[in-house]
Amino acid sequence: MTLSASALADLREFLCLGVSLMLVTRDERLMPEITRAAGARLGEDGLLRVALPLPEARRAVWNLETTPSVALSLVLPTTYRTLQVKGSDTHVVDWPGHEVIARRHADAFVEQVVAVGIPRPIADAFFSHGRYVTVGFTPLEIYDQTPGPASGLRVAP
Amino acid sequence: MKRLTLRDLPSGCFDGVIPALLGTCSGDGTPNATWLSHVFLLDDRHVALSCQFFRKTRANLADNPHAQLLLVAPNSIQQWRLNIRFLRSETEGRTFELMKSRLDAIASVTRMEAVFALHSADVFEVDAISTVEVEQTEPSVPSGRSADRLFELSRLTEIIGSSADLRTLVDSGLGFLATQLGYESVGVYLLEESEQALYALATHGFPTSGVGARIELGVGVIGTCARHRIPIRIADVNRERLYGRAVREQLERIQSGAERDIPLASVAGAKSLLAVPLVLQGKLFGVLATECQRALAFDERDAQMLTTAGQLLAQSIALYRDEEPEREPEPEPPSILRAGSIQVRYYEADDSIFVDGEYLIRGLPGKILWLLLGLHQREGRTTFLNRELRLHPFLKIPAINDNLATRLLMLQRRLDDKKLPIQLHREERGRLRLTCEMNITLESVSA
Repeated sequence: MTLSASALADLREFLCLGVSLMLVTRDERLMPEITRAAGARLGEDGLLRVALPLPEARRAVWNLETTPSVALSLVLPTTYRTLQVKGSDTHVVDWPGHEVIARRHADAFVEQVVAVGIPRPIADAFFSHGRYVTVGFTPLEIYDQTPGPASGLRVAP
Repeated sequence: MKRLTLRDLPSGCFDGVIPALLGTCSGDGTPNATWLSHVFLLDDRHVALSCQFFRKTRANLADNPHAQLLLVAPNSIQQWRLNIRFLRSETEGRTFELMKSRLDAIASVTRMEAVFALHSADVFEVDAISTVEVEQTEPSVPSGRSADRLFELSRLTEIIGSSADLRTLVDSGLGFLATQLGYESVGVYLLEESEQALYALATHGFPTSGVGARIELGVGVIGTCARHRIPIRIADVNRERLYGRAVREQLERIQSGAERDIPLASVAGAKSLLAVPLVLQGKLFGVLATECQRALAFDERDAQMLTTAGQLLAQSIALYRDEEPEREPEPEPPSILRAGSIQVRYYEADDSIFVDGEYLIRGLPGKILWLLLGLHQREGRTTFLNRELRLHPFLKIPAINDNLATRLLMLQRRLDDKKLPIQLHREERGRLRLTCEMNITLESVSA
């Protein structure tokens, strides 16, 4: 089922706010692997592009060579609003300018975590900055995971 | 390379300051991510996760017990991946009760009891731990507190041992915690067993003393610490969105609820909070609590340190006895009365005292003041022996667990705080002097 334009627009905007980005991949034995992402943007072509930092994303990249299913969790530290996006066609993509996006994302993310009490001198240490593998997938489903009794409900397509 | 165990990870990983992420995978191969407010360390090889909001996660674990947990140390941002395996869900027993107590503590501060209700404790075995390799990791932030804490504790015992009276003991003890150990805003709260409530005995480093403030067991961080007898540490209030709102709500409740309360001392904008129970001979004696405007100010070592220091203080306070006076009372100085009079009203229902319509104190300290003022007015007395108070039928002080000295100190402090023309002084060991600088009218309101 295709996601609605409004759901995608909301996701597109949310990705730019300095959210904490966590990508979950899995290997062939169904063992999950969690990796922080260094930036993500939803293109007008419907592809959600994600910059995965190295060296910590090596296993995730390896997993994606054989199993393209992913879950990308996005949480805004200052509000706890949380979305989870599922995809099943993840593959390595060309993403010209991803370093600029990653830097912009890192700056916004630092402001978020500093606002919730993480000391600024260490706020940039959540993930590596410099080398990235860029992957992309088509969002299939979005779930609202903001903490609370209603957490986990699927966002209406 | 050494194989990492859970004991190798800093305690901050389990504080919930930076939420952990749990990755699972369904039987059909779809990954899922869930944020966790708390991960509970059980032993070297096991963790428990609180089953609060999980739906998809539970279904996935039923299909496939293998999961991964990402933990972050808040002081260094160092991260670890834990490959874990789901073992069982527990809905009763020690692990469940421990987790429930901790979640209750948070819920009591956030007023979100229903949301934080623990359905089960999900126990996982840790198969492997690996450090997340991140380039450019910065060094951790130093805590700013002294490393040689054993030495500091020995100095605290010296200070306590050399204190000649209870006031000096409490003041110098709290002062030492502030100046030498870095707990700048600290307070000691004692249990009033008959009321199932705590009262603030003394504080240090707060804008207002709050002495005499009453805290119901189970209310707020201090009351919850007392009820469950476990240290409660809020490492980053902003992050948890807890404390500011809770304090505001508590203050609003106090101000709107009744005039018979004293606002609890608190630091504006406090982000870190630590409360430890003081337990003597298996019974709750009180709570020692500290707060700080800096986030991540307290870690597990602080909880241990404050517990040890608090126990030293508690034992000394509990053992303190004002013995018989060694000399006759000094001749009474001529009293110089200021113009006007004040009205003191005593409510039998809760032993509360109001001075000119303003709440002063209640419970045993209120009863003591009422007795002293009555004796002063009827018999013109100004000096009183602790011994006679201890035996006076009106006060009904229990022979065991005599808490007279602490309640007298609380009363003295409260009279000081209010700057009233009635003051109580410890004249010497075992003897008190009451001074009244204005005429007083006494009125008792029956229950």
